[in-house]
Amino acid sequence: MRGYLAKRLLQAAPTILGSILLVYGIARALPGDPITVMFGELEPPPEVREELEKHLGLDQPFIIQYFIYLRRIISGDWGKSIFTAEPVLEFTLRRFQATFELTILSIAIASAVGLAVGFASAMRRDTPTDKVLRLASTAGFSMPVFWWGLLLILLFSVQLGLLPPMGRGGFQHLVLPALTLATFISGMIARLTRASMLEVLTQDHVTTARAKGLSETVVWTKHVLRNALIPIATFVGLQFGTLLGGAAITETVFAYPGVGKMVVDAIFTRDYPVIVGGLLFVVIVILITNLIVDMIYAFIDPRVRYERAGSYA
Amino acid sequence: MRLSIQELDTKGRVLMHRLGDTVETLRFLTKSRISAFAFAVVVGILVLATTADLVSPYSYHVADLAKRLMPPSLHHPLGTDQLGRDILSRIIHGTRVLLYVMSMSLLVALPLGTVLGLLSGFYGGVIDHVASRIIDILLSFPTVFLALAIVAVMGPSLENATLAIGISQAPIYMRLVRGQVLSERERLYVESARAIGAGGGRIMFRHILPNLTGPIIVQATFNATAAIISAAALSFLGLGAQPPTPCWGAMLYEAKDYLRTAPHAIALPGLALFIVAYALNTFGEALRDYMDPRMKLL
Amino acid sequence: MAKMLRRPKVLVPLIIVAIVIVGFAAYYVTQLAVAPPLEELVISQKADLTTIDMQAATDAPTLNVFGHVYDTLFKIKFDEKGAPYFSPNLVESYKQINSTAWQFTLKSGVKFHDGTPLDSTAVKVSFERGPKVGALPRTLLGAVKAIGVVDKQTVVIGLKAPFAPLIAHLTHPSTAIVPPKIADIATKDFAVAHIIGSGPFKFLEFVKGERTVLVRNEEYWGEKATVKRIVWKPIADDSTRVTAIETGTVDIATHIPSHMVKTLKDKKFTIVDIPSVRTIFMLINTEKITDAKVRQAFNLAVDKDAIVSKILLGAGSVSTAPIAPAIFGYSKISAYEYSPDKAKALLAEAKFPADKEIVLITPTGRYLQDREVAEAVASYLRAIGLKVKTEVLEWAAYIPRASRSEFDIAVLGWGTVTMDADYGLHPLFHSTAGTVNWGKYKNTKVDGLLDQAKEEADTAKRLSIYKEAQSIIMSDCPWIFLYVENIIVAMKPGLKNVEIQPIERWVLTYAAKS
Repeated sequence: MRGYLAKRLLQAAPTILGSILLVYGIARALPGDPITVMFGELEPPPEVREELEKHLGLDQPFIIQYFIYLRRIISGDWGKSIFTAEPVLEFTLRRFQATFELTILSIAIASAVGLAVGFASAMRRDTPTDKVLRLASTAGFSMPVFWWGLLLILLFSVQLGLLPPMGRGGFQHLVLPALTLATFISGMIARLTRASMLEVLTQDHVTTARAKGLSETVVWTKHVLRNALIPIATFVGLQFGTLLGGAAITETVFAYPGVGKMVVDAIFTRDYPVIVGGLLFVVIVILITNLIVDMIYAFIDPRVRYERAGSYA
Repeated sequence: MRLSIQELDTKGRVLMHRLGDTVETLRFLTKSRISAFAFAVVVGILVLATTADLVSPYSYHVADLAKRLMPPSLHHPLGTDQLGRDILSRIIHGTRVLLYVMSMSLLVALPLGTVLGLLSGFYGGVIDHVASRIIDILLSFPTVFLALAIVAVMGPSLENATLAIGISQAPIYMRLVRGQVLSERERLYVESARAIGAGGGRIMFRHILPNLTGPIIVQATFNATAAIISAAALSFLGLGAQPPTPCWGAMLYEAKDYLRTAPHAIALPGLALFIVAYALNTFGEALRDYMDPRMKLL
Repeated sequence: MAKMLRRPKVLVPLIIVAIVIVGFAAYYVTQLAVAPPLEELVISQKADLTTIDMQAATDAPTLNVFGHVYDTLFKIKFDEKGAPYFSPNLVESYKQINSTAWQFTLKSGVKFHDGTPLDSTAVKVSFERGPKVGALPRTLLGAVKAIGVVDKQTVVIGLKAPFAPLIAHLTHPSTAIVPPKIADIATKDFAVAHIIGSGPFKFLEFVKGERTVLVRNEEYWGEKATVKRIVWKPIADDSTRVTAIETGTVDIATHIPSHMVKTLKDKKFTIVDIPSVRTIFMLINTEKITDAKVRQAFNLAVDKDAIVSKILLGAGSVSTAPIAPAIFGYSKISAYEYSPDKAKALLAEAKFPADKEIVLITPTGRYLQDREVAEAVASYLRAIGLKVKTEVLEWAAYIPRASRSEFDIAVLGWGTVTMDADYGLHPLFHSTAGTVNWGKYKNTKVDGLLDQAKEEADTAKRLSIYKEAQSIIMSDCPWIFLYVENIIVAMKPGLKNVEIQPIERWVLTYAAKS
């Protein structure tokens, strides 16, 4: 077990380095630069531009800048926003808090609804109820997130005036974005739950357990649920990681100040330190979450540790 | 949406044979009302895309400021947008955009991902390590950011957006194919091929690959749906199709300021997107059920 | 009845009730007479602060916030007819020594928020640091050669050449006075602690993307503000911003889209809808479209009235000159009529190739409905047989393209914030010194006229020089002339004394409830 962990951590290192390079490369490849954004229509004369570029450290060749940046990151200095001079790490953590709240609420709702629907669907396989629920599940994850979000705003904010359409404040600001995300995820969870349960229910060990005369409760808890929940839990874990990476589109639609929106805004204003710092943070969070999920999965299923040795599956 | 390896398995081998029997396929695909509907939508898109110019009542790009933001009426069954253009006509022409995005993203992602997956799964070693790290890097980026960044760098256009989406989807195929190759590698038919002197390339492409077509096709269907939604999402952020291209996502972007005064301009193109995504997802599920009767349970 | 009143049991309570009623009435009357001060005023501009270094800022929203924190030498005010006039602010008195030198005497006793005095050294530091860190101060103070400190209250400004609009330029927030202690702080090291002004408000906090908070300066040297606290909340999305004012989340919302005005008016909100000094137009690349006839054809092909009435819903006025009517130096020339037939004829005359592709670039979300207007114009051009390719770019990618003249037609907006024609014409049309002349327009006669007017002291002569220049420009057609934007601001009912100026400035200092 420890060996597997060490192996995965070792694999994570080049991944992170590669990610930094990719992110930094993309950020610098963007046309225009923050100086352009700062000055707008008043393009600065060459001397002013030169001076500013020196201030911002943009005048050296790309590779040198990359290594300077790398060194700084490792020593903990993630730079400051070009526009607000706020340290990037602080800024990112602040926004991450918002994203975290949204993620928790969305996953909670999605899991509750998805599990219930999937379970009901599996138990009533092929009945009209099942068909309807399956329809609803597929509908859920076919929804374009930005459209659904706008519709929810139209209904709950504009027409009914019940919930605020944007920003962050109290619980009411979380509801609509969370509902939007939850619709999508619950659809997938429902489908997965149904599939997983049905798969397990028809497996031999369940029929054997029943044949052995074990009570239904035991059959369900020890055999069915325990096995069926594994892939579901894995999926939820992975989704959690993805959402923590900032559901950029949802956050934009609802002007919710999370990590996703922070990076999108930074891309548009060419705030390089925030782009790179923000994306790096997101990548690390996702890698950690994936690692944790894989660890749990490996713990539950020993075969994984051996099969997956050495590469990513 | 990404399916796990366990789900897809190599039951896809059966698919190629069954697909060959068109009548049987069609009958299966239209068995339930839902799947029939989905199939009809898919066919409908193809038809509309090819006959768009004939079928549309109005032009999709000529602006008429006097008719801005009119709600659905007899003359304009779906209303007009913020430049007075008929929404129905724009939606019809938008099917072309759909087809373009689906096919181009597949053209980019599929060959790239499949070849890399074959190579890294078959040969293993250093190639595999490097390839796996690349997959890791690309997959740990939320797709939105990756595509957004690529498009911002290359300049906003439908072509670039599709390219970016293709690039971000390649790792999915790569991982899928690689996993499949890893398990196929040990099978008898591969050993036999080697025994009679077949080289690596020949084994990969002539023997292993055909057995993978099933899962690949299913994954491709879901990825195509995801590609359309991603393209729409990118356009929604302002980085996608250029005007006057009637990309449904761009229509939402242009009309979102009018959410309160003319919601139909947002609701209707979005509804079209939803219906198409739903149909394609259902279609993909039907295809997958078709692969193996036991899978029909799911 | 009289007998009853005389009985104490009735009389006393009656008197008490009368006193109470009179008391309440008196209280209410005094409330009406004295506008009660506001505890907190919440305003939502579309955009957030782009920088915390005021001198480095180039956009109106940021300068609006800092306009309450810093003081300028002169203030600009607008009379009932909407005409601007300048009044001394930090300046006690001033005089022009000779054609290139002005002397200013500052008011005494003015202090910065940290208690240090605002003296002539501060003025010198401000006018030297500004041009170093920001494009706007650099442009506005470009005519300044040197600043001399005579004594603590007296400053002499030496100019490179006679410069008529100097006082106008000194009303702009970018030329506000900063304390000497921040002289050497670079913009990238600027922190909130460095935001020290002398204005009616102190800068409290800035949470990017959420809010900026100003608190009243209780030791203000001038008339103290009536508002204790101003909170600025940036809300970029138009619908959301309108909802915010409807629900009372904010008290004032700016940049209201014209199609939401009716909804707000019906709900009894106060709407201020006035012409601004910002002209929206499209640059034509004169090096690629060299024939003036073709450019005139472009202008004739576009129905500007329809754009203003249908897209802007009347929140604008068709341009009759390159600058807005409120600006000193404006002359009404005329707008090109809408005539697709004449346009086609001109194209034919100029033998413009029918299959030549014209690239039209536009930013999105930079100006009100910019993308829509650009698409409409493209549609009009296509209607006269031209091949137009539209490219929508986000702002950071747009400016490099536009400033390098990589376009055939480009959308732009320009606000003449000094209310003087020099700022509105020189940067845009001067062939060598025009910093925003990205269409590469070149007319030496116009160059000469603009340079002449810059230095001409006589007002009447200046007006006639500008009239000639604008006439030539309109017929040379380096632009597709479009319209002058309106500013639309919504306020909650009962709010008064909020100054909304055509230069996109809002002054909230003396706001009150009625």
